[in-house]
Amino acid sequence: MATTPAAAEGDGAGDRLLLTLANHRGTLDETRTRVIHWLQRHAPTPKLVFNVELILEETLMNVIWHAHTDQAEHLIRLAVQVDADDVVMRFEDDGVPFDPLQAEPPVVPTSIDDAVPGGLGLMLVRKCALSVTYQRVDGNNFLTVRVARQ
Amino acid sequence: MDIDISELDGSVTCIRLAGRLDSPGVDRVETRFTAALAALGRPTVVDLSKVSFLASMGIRMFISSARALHAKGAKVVLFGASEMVQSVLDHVALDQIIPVAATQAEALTKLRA
Repeated sequence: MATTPAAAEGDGAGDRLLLTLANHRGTLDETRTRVIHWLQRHAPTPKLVFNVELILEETLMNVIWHAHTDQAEHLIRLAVQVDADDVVMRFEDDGVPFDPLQAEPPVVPTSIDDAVPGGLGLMLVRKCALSVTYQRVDGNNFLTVRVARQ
Repeated sequence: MDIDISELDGSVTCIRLAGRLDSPGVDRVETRFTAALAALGRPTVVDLSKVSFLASMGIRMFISSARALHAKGAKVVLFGASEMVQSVLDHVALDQIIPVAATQAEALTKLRA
């Protein structure tokens, strides 16, 4: 499974899609393509597609860049579920403990000289999500992001 | 991700971006984008009308390049963002540090302001 960029654990035929991907940037495009292809059966609005893509990009990039201190390959598990009103995305990784809800939000700069081009990804996730929750269970990080279908 | 660099009125650099400004997209255009702004050091407008997606990596590229250009005494104005790309710009309040315009004409006006 580790050698597959984004291996499906389930068939995704129901309302839930399970994917496992390796923690490198080369998996991002395929993961996005598979999630959006699966989401099409739920007639997503363009805004929902955009928000799901944004949450995928920002959350996965954060794990790939920051979660692991070694150079070994690690797996990220992604579950996407659609219910009547929302899409719920759950990310699981075995990286260092990191609760993004406890991270200091970036300060919005008032001039280009003050601007520091970092820390924006998690801000974007929180802005376009209905809710973001974090749990640390059995040495793994679980980040759950809920986004409105409409 | 495509990038087209041209000249307007002989004094303004115009960069037209097309495609997805996510991390793979930024990887493909960042070197040329940064070179066009910082190396030329001229006032610049950036056309986002054909950008279909924008993530934080794209915002980082805009901020880094705008800072380098600002250090040379010139500025950059973004224009033409779609509704959803504009929502990303709004979420991070980018217009607090980089002017954002609806049209090319408005962008050129802001560049001269």
